[in-house]
Amino acid sequence: MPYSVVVADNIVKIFNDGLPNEVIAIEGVSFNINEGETIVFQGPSGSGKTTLLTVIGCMAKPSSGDLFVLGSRVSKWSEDFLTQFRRQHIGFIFQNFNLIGDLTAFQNIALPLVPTGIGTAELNHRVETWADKLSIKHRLRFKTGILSGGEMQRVAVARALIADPEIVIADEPTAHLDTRLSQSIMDIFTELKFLGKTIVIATHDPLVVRASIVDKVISFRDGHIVNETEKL
Amino acid sequence: MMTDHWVISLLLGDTLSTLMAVLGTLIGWKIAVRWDPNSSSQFQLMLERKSYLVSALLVYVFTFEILSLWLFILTVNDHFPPLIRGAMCATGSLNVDSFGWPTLYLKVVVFFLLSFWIYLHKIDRQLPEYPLTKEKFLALLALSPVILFTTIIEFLYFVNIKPDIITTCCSVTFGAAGNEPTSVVAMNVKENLVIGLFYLFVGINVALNMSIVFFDRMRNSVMPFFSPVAGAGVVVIGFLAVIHHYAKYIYSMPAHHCPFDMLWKEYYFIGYIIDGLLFMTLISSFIVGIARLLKRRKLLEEVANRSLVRNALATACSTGALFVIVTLIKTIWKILY
Repeated sequence: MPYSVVVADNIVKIFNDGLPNEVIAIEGVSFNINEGETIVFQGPSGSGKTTLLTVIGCMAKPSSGDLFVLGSRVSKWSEDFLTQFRRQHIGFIFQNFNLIGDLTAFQNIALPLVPTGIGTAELNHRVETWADKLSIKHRLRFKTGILSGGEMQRVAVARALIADPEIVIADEPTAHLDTRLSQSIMDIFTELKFLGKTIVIATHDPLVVRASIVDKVISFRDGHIVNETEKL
Repeated sequence: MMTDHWVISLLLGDTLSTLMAVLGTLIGWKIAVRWDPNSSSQFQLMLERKSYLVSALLVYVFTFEILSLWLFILTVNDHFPPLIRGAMCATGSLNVDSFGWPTLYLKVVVFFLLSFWIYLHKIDRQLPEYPLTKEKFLALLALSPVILFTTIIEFLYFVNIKPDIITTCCSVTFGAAGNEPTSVVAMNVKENLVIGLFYLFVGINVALNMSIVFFDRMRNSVMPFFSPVAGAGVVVIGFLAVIHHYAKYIYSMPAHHCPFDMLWKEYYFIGYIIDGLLFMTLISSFIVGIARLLKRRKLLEEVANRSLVRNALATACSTGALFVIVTLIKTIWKILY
């Protein structure tokens, strides 16, 4: 029996609840993600993919419904506990990177490890290892504000993976990359899958949807799941 | 007396913390009334953020209020006596007007109530669901008027002090050679009976709390409910035992019964250790009872159980330490004299 890393039960997320500009971003969404699986959420812009990722990634609480992540009922948790949980268990690659422009690539990548109190030598080693894997070692001392889109994307990936999370969530991870770099990102995901990580990706990119590592594709439209395809 | 810098500092600190407590209550009443742990609405999220901020601030404010008891005692016991005619220690300073003793009693009550509130807050913050937030803010609604009232009485105490009017000090209040004491705690008490009761309550308290630590941790017996009763017994009888029996060994004077003089350097601050252990016994024994109540709730069972065991151990240790220290003082005195 596979272990369910994420169990979503009838998740609803409403923004501006009760106000005239109320938006129902996701409505009645239920699914399971097993340990070690790679899941792709696909759908047009505004279909609720990113909202769902933020809910799974414990950055937003669902308006109703139950969400269990790694066996914990996180939908009822307070924000500071969600932050601690996210720091320990979830790596998030944002569509717009969310890097701090005034910090160097090294400092951005190291950021998730700072609250853990890890030693400097170990921190340096981890940052350099991931920078090397993602071919950005030569840019570590540069401020991220002056990096190219592809380089920023790779810094964002390194930052998401530096704390060795069980779950890796990526929002359009290849959106700013050329084919060669997109393939290198997919190679990283392949390696992560081999290491037993659970990967959740929201994407439009056919390269990602068709990748051999993907176990399940869930299609979205207007905040609902319209199709769920398990790849054999 | 209102121009005295000790008084100004104390009143300023207490007034500011009272204002913060009242402000926290004004924000907190909405949390107390509308907190719904089953809701994930934006309103609930807003309440959650407010509760986090307000309670984080209140912990600092209440910690100051707790410390202000010590500052108050320091003021009336060390700073005031040279300024007030006839006062030699806190007794004289507190007797100077009719608000002195009520201020001290209220500050002691506030000390305990705020300690319990901080305990509730700590337990609440240990679980991701914040299961005690509603209760914590309801308690705050009840606490704020007490804090406000205490600060008003404290203000009246300082305002009404007339340093040139002669006050009566501890030899009158607690009795000295040839004097009948005026204080209720010092009157008509048989020393042997008090000591007997003190040994009895210490024994009961240590045995009860150690049995909770060793035998009751996984059971849901009613034993922890008796811990506050035994703890309160130790504190009341312990206080009487110190005044009526152990004070004479501390002061090396058979007729000197003042509970404040022993807080001075001349007596090696032994009063702070004794009072500290008495307060610790009362706080931890009451927390054992509170934790037992919280243990009834499924969500809190594990956390409350851990806390119950720790505080039962703390109660037994502080009671034991109190007994050892007063016995040691008596023994050393007997060896020396």
